[in-house]
Amino acid sequence: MSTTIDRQWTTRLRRRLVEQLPPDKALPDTQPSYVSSWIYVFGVVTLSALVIVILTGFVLAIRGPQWWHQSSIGHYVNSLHLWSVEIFFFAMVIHLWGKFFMAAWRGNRSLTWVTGAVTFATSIATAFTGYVSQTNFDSQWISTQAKDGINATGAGAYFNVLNTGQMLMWHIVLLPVAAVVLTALHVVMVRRKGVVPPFEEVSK
Amino acid sequence: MSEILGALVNLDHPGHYISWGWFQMSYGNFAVVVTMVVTFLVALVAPFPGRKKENQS
Repeated sequence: MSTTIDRQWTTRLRRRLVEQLPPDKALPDTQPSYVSSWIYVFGVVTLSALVIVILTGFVLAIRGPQWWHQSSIGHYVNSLHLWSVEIFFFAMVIHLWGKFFMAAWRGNRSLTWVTGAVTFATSIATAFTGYVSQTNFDSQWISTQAKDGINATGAGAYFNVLNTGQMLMWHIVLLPVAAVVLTALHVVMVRRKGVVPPFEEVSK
Repeated sequence: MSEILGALVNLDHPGHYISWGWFQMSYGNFAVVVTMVVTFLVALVAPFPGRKKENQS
């Protein structure tokens, strides 16, 4: 017989969450021995770079374009933002290659693979809106080169690359929120299902 | 500092491009792709610190 407390939505939600992701799976003490390989490092490098991208993005958002164009410290933070994005994509693509050749969707991990792929696509859009939000000649060049292709898809009504304010909002609000939420989902799925084992481990 | 780096690497010129039929890529992007492939291959074979061999207990 269920009590009033058992029927509360908070109780039911907590039990569901603990059932789906027990604490020892969410924050494990150990990992399988096959994880001791450099190819398993690139996921966490991507995640670390994303943290730096977000933190430097916060600073750029607080200080604004004049600061990042005209002051030395602004140039420095702007460069940190750019180079952490470069490392983010560098590591993410190697992570993608590693997981592709490992067929990381094995063992009921298809949603982990799909969320990773969608995060990759979202990150490309986020980076693109960043390049057109620089407020310099580079961003003017990129946006005028991209406008015809994007308008031809019909997306221009909601995603006008010549509209600096709209691109900046996509870059600092909508797309980063999507990228961070997708990344969090991806990491939760990796924690739930565990890291994919190499082929030879499965055939043992 | 920027003057020193600027003297080492002169970036004040139009980009250089590799062209192969319809395919075109800047040398900078090409260098990044090559570095990624090399890093991927090294990650597959480089020994990981602290990893024990399979036959060791």
